Amino acid sequence: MRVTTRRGSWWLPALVFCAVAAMAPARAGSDLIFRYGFDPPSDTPESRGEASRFLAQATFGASEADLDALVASGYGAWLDRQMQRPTRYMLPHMRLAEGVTDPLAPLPFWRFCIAWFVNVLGGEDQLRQRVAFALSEILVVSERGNALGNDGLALGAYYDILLRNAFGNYRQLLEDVTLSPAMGRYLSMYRNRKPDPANNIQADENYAREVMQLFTIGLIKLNLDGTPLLVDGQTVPTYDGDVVRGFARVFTGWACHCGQGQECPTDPFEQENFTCSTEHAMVPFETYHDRGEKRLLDGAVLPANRDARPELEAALDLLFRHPNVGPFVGRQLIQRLVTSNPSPAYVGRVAAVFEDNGAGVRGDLGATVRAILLDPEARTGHRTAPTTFGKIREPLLRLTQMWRAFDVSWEEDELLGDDLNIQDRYNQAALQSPSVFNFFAPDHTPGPPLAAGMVAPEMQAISANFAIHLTNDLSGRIYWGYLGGPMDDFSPNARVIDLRRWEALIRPASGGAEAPPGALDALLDRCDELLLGGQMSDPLRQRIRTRLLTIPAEDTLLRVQNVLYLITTSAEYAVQR
Amino acid sequence: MCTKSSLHSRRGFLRRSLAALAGGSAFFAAPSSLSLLNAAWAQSAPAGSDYKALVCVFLLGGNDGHNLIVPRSTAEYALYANRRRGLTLPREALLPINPIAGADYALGLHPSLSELQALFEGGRLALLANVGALVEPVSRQQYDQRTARLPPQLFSHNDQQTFWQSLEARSPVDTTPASGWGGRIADLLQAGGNPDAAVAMNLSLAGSNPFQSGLRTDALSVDTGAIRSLEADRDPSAVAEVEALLAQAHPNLLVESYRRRLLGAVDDYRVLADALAGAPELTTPFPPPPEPGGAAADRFAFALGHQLRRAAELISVRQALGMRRQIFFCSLGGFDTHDAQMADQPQLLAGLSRALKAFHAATIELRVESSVTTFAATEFGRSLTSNGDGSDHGWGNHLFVLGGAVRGQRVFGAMPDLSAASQDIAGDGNLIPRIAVDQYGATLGRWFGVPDEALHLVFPNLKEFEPHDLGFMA
Repeated sequence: MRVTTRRGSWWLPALVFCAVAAMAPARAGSDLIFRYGFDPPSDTPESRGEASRFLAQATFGASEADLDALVASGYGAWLDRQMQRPTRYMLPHMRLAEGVTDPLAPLPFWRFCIAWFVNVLGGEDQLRQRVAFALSEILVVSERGNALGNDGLALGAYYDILLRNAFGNYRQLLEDVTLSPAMGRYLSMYRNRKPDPANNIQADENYAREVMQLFTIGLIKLNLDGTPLLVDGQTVPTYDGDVVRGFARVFTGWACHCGQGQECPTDPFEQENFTCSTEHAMVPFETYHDRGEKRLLDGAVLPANRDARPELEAALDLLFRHPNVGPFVGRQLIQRLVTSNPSPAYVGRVAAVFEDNGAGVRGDLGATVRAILLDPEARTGHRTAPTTFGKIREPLLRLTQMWRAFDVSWEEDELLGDDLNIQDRYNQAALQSPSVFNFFAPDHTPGPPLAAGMVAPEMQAISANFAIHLTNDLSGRIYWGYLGGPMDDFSPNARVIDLRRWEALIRPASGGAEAPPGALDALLDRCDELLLGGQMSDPLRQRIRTRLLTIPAEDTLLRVQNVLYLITTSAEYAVQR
Repeated sequence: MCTKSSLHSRRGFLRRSLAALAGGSAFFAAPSSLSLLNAAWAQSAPAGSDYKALVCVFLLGGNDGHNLIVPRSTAEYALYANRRRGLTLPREALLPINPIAGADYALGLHPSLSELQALFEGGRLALLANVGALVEPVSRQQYDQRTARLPPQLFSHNDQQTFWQSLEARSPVDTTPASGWGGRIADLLQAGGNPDAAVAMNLSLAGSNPFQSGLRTDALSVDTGAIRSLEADRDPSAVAEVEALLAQAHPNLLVESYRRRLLGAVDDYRVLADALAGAPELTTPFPPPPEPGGAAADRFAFALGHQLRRAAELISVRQALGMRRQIFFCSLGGFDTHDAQMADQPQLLAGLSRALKAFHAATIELRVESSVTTFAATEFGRSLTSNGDGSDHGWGNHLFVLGGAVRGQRVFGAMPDLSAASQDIAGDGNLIPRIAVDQYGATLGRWFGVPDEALHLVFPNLKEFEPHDLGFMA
């Protein structure tokens, strides 16, 4: 019995909900758009292509049913509904598949790889899944490296933190991340101990440095719009080595949590190997916590003699309240979801919502995501800045968006070997970044033909060989990986797309020699909407159309495959606009 | 075999277009002798008779050089051990070396570096003491009083990787794309050195990197496995359509960026595949793929070794590619040893040492031992102090250069003073470099053929330092 993702059916309750939500008070995001004097974009997509553009920014891909439902509901109601959907977490799926209930039972990492694909392809909480993935590329931990090899339990628990907090508060997210055993091990705050001057031992600076540089404030002071703050024409560092050393001493004295009923070492710092929960937050061991005074950001001082936890709270508060966080995190979220080169005004509008969600709350990620997706630049940038708007589609999203557009399904959750090791062909896989600096840097530029100052982060991961790899891989998915095709016959683990109704659309009438009148154009129009947001160039369309006419009309499968292949391997599809 | 074709001229056109876009850089206000140099090269011996290659091996994360070269003499070892404590290597485990010049006291290499020890003793490897990112010489007093002019964001991985490879002190308000010194060398020498080349002088075995990015030349990223082409077996005629579509320019610059990347890959890989199809089989053994459950060193040896093997193959077909100059970029990750350094670094260094030994042997097999120079790079050194079981980000570092043209079995630069009164160690414990990366690069660049009057164009900070040539190349 084929297990399908049954996508589409959940829109009915969504529509009912919209009617109720329409009477609710206006949400914070739209308030702020008014407050900043911009014409609010229409809440209703003006076309299926526009709906498709929005869902390319907000999900792992959208089918035609998804487009129609969004057109019917409007953006605001869709966002409301998404934010209230139950969360599809990783660990429950992984444990069920592994057949374990013991919270200390180890889970192999390949269980995570499977759970990730199951959730992003089949989860109805698409926005949450997409935002969590974006967060996993900002607050990076990775299975690659020495610290977390094959530790599916720690990494699944980490991803669940990102899922749980995707629309929550950044302060809570920061604390959960800081105290997660996965991050603790990855950036070596786990068992970081106070300095020991007699033995010339300093506190470990790893987490202290990266939590500032990568997770919160960055290296230089920013204006609210993300541009560098300049004093006498010079940028201003956010911190120096003394601040790093101060934070390093804050982050001392933490080790793992012992599960209920577990025999727990009294001093995990002295014991090399022991089993404890890598699911639950780390806990303090005061003997190893530095109790000295600490000088932190901009002269802030944490007084001496504080326990590990209250001191950590105070230090995270300092980071969280730093004016850089809104533009620093906001800009990167915009880059992950919408466009690589947002205007300063766009960053500023998003950062303002991060600073205050309209109800006086700082760090509201749900409001921030809403502001990112409803911003005039997100909705109309392809028209107002057609030569620069958009982002190179992340390699994995090129695949998931094609799959979901064509109603992907599978019989058994396990992945084929090639898909378990998808980083070999995509140079990207969830929680498998080569380092804490992610698969690509937010400021990476491949240079010309990009204009000076423009970045295209994802190009860092798409080197020449991967550009070819991706093209070939998509070809295999389209020519072999369809319902009833070779991959479907080969394995119940194959993810397959469903091309049957597309074939039906262009099948010649009984006795006819050519597709029904207008059918080929309808096929092109609808694939254009689904994959390119209705922005297919004339040369691409003409070339594909001409090509279709060289294929016998009765070979409907090959015709549909040609359309998919030539679109998804085009440079146009490589960019989400 | 590779032939010049319309593909070649298309790429030539592309490059010229790119250069026009980059436009107007002062970099190209080069001395007129450069064009003479290029003209002279173009008319000289055929490709291959005057051949040189630079191979950058970048140790990502910041290798702990304090445990790469270690004092063995009693007094200096005691100072070292006092600084390092839990990170101290046992004196008796150090691999002794016998420098013929440059060492004031007895030195040893990390116990995992037996292959590099043999190459040093055989005169093929030179050591460089205390190299680092600098824009001008810095005294301890200047550093402590914060009056020194410093490269941007010392101690940050990505910023220091970029600075090390670009040597441009870019600020966030300067948004020009960084070019790397490998890329700038190619900008200068491509026309004269590789006039017939069908592919870029800069070949990366480790993906995109700032080092090889030029202002008018691109690097080509090459996979270590099969050289790929667009697979045509599923629908042969559709692939021709893909290529035809790739010839269509698009107004969106991001689309253009991707289009050119894929188009260039398809073109260049066709040339590489043709050339490599005629490559002689290397008989030099390289580290094999690691067995599951094997030592980490096996993984590292393979991770770097299979990049270097591909570099050796690309060297072996230099004539078919029309290349007299090649610059390779390889990398090995994992050196950010905040944790478990005494367990992890030996594995990393053992892998490094084995891969380099194999590569050096391959250059002998290919009879280019004196034409190929391999140099180590890493974004920064590490703290002398321990953080319990690892080290933190530092600054000055020890490095090495390998090849037949290297004046080996010597130490260049002074090992730092590790005593309490040291002027080499700043108040915050960081080792202050005494050799700038610009000097290190310029020494390699001169050997490679960059004329003296053009060194400043490639190494913008060089003017602040003496000497311009550290003397480690014959």
